[in-house]
Amino acid sequence: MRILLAEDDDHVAAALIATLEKSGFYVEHESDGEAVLYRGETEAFDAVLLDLGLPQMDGLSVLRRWRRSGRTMPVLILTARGQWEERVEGIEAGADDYVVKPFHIMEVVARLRALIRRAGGLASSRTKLGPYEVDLRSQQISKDGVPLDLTPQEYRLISYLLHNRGRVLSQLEITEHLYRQDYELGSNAVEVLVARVRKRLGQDVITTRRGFGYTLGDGF
Amino acid sequence: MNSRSIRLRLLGLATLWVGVSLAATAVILHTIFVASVERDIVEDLSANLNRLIALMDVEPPDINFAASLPDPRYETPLGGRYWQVQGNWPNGLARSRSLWDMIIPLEGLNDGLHHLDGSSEEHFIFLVRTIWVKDQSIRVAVGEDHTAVHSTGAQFSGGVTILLALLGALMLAFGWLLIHFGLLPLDRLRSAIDDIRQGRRSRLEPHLAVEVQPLVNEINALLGEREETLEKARQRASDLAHGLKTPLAALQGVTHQLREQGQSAEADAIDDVVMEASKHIDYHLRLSVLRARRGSQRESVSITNAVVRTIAVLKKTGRGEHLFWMAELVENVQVNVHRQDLLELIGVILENAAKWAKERVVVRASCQSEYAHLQIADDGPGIDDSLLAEIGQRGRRLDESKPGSGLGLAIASEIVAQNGGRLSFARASEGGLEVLIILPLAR
Repeated sequence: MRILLAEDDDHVAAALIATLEKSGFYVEHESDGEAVLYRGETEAFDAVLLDLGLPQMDGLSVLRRWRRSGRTMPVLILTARGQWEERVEGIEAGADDYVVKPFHIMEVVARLRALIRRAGGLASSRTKLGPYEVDLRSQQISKDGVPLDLTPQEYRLISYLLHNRGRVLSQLEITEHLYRQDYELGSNAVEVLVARVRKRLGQDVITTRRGFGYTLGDGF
Repeated sequence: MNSRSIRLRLLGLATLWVGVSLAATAVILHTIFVASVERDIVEDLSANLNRLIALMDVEPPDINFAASLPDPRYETPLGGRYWQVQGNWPNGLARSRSLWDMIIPLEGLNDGLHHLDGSSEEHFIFLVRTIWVKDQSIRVAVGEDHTAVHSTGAQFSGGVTILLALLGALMLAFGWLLIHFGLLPLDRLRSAIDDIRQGRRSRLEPHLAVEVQPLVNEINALLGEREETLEKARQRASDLAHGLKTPLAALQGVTHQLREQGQSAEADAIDDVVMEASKHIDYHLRLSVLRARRGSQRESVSITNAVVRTIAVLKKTGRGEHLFWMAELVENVQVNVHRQDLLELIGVILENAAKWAKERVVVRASCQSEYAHLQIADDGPGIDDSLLAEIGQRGRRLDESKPGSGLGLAIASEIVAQNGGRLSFARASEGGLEVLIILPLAR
C-alpha cells in the first residue's frame, strides 16, 4: 500500500515513516503544501496522512482542492490543534478521520489500516474468502486455518487486489502501489510476482484480463 | 438623573434662559405699553398747554384768559384734567376749576414731564413749562389724573405675565422634547455598546448621528484593535500549542522505537510525561481561545446543526463508527453562543459519551420556555450517584481505565457558564451517564 505522508516536522515524519514501513506501507514523504497538492493530484496513493499545519499551503486547502478535482483517496488528518471546530472543518472538507498530536504511532497505523479497509469496502480487518482468510492487522494469509508463508511483496499484492476487489488493475497501477517510485524495476516485475503467487496458492487465485491487467480470481 | 446628567444640565439651562428671556420680555412690553400711553398723553397735554398759553393774557398782577379750554374736565371739580399758571409775583396764581382747593407744588420742578403722587392711591402727570412775559417768568402746568393709566398698565402686565408664563411652560415642554430627541443618539449608542458587551454585535452602526460619528469611529477603531490583539494572542497561543505538540509527537515516535528495543518501562515513563504535558497545553489553549472570544459578537446558531455536524465527525472515528447514534432533535433550536464554542461544547460531551457507550448514544434537543435543553445519554457503565457532583471539575477524572484528561468536561462547564447556561449530570434511563446542557434561547 502506497501512502503519502504530508508532515513538515522531520522528527515526526521520520518516526512515522519507520513505523509505517515496518507495518507494510510504502511511504512517500512531502513537507511542503504545494508539493503535497501536486503529488496527490497526479499520483495514485492508497491513503494520505495529512498534517494541517503545512508551509506554503495549509492542509485543509490542499484537501479541499483534491476533493474538488475528484480525488477520493482516504485522508487521515494529523493536527496539533484539537479544537472541535477544526475537526468538523477537516471532516467536512473531505477528511476520513483525524488524529490529534501527540499520538501513539500504532494508533495512527491502526486508523490508517481501517481507512484503507473501509475504502476497499471491507467490513472487518479479517476477511474470509473461500478457504482463505486475510488478516490485515497481522498481515497474515491463512488457508484452511493454516498460515501461509508469503513474502511481504506477495502479501501486498494479494492485499492490494483484495482491497480493489471487482476492479481490473493494470501492471502500472500495481507497480505504483507496491513499489517505491525510485525503485529499479524490471519490465516484467509484476508478471514475475503474479507468477510466484500463483505457484504458491494456485493458478486461479489471480485472473489475467489480457490487455487490461489483473483481478482477484475465483479461487480466492 | 444626577448633577452630571447632560439632560438635567440642558433642562436647567433651558429653564434659566426661558425664565430670564420671558421676564425681560414682560418688563419690556410693560415699558413699551406705558411709554406709548404716556406719549399720547404728553402730546395731548402739550397741545392743551400751548392752547392755554395762547389764551393767556398776563398783565401783572393779573392773569386773564381769553377763553376756557374746550375740554369740560378742566371746568369740573376734580374732573381729572388740571392746569395751573403761576407768576413770580405775589398772588400771581391762576388754576383750573377742576383743581378745586389744590395747588400744584411747582417749586423745585424743572420744565418737562413730572409724576406726582397725590393722597391715597392717586397718581398725577404734569407737563411744566416756563414762559417769560414782560420780563416776568410764569410757570404753566397742565396735567391729568394718571391713576387709570397706572391700573391699565398693571392689568396689561398681569395679562402679559400669564401669557408669557404659559408660553414659558410650552417652551420648556418643547425644550424637554428637544433634549430628549437630541440625546436619543446617545441612548442608541449606549444600547449599541451594551449589545457589543453582550456579544450581540461586533461593531457600532456607522449612521447613528453626524455629531456622534467621530465617537462611533473611535469606538469602532478601538474594537478593531482589541479584536486584532485578541486574534494575535489566540494565534500565538495556537502556534505555541502547535510548536509544543509537534515535538511531543516526535518524542512519542522515539518511545515507540524504545519499546521495540525492549525498553518499555522507559518508553511508558516518557509517554506519561508527553501525554500529561499535551493535555495541559490543550486545556490552556482551548481555555485561552474561549476567553479571548468572550465579549466578541455571538451569533445565533442552531444546536440541531451543531449536533448533526459533530455526530458526522464522531461516526468517522474508530469508536463512533460502531455506535448507534439516535438524535431526537426539535428543528431550529437557536442559541446565542459562538459557533466554535457550541461545537466545542457539544463535541466534548458527545466524544465523552462515545468513549463510554456500549452500543448507543441518544441526543435529545428541545425548547422549554426561554431555554434550549440538550440531553446526551449513553448506555455505558455510568458513574456512581455520589460522584455526579464532581464531574466537570478541572482535571477530575472519575475513571482512569480509558484515555482522557478530564479537562474536556471542565472546558464544557466553562463554555456553559460563560453563556449563562447550566450543565448537570444524572443517571440516564439508558443506564449510563446523562448530561443535560441548558442554554438561553436566542432572542
